[in-house]
Amino acid sequence: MPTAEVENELRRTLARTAAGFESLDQARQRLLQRDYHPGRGTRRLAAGITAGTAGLGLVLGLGLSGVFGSASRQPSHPAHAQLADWTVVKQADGTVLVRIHEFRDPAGLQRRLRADGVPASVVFFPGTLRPGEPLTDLVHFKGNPCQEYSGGESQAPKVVTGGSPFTVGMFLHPSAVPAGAGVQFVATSNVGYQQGPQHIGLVEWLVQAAAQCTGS
Amino acid sequence: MDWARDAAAKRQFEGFAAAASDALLRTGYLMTGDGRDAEDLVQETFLRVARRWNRVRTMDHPAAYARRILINLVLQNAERRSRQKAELALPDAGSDAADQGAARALRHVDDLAEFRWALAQLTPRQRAVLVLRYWADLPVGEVADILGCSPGAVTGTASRAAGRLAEILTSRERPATTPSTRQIMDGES
Repeated sequence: MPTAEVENELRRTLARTAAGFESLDQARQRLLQRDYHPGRGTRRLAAGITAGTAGLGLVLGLGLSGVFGSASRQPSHPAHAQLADWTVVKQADGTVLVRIHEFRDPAGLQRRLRADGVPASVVFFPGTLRPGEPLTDLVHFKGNPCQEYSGGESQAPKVVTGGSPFTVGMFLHPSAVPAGAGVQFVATSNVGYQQGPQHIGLVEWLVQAAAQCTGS
Repeated sequence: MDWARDAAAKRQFEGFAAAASDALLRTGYLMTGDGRDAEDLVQETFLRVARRWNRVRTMDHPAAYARRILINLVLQNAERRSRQKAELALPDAGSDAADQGAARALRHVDDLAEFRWALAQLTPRQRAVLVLRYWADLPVGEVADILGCSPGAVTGTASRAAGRLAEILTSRERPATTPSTRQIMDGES
């Protein structure tokens, strides 16, 4: 146990640091405006990051300087594809880590995920959510080639774990995908009711595996 | 739970989220060193609480349950990447001197960004012990319960973490920028 003096200094310094969270009010407002309604999909929002400037937002927000400089390098490992728009890393245990810097080239991301063993569909939501419409409605767009996988709601949290793909990254677990199922990601930057267009919405849900949806 | 049919549950959840968000955000901020990551963590925490709201709403302390989820999210992220460094053990001898050094180093923290950076150099588990014990002011037993370890492990980790913080704060080699999310979540230093 640290001495009482060290403990007091820790308490004081941690309290000062926590109080120094300057954007706390805005973060709280955004959090409280979101929809946490349990649905078929899991909503993942990148707060304050527009589709066009997501990379810039991350650089500024995290104080990084090297992330996007390295993004253009060729992959040094066959299981590691690093592109400007997103990063997919297949790990030794088969888990796939996905980070999205800018939500572009969904077809490329879809191909990469399938190559890494994830039966995936990645699409942009073609419309605009109406005010008050839950993000989970992203999956119900006209012409969606995927159908809901029956019973997938309970399995989905095992297939996709981790935090936001826009910052900390999300983990996909191919081994947890039920036989005959796949995972669809639907994204939009048109989350108009979430304080303007500065948000990207991403919903994932389990779907029936099919050639027109997950490729097989 | 179908919130469309249970407006009271929805309102209750919203009340919980409003009351708990500040403390959760600050906890996330201390654990990650970054406001955006803290927001992501709290969002994920709220999603998980919402999924189990029927059960959580009957708990005596839903906010404590949410805090446990948030801490575990950070720890799980680090474990999944499985590159977490072993906690640095200070030698048994000279612990008094180490404590004096820690107190001195902490007393002279002027730049909070530097302290956040130093905190991020600790392993996620060390960070969790310091944040839960000295910011959330939880008893040792409760910290041990959250982290799934013994009270002795909590006090030992707290000592080592404080010593390591002092080492980092008195080191001359510090980066000009705050650490990246990946570094923080990996527990790399």
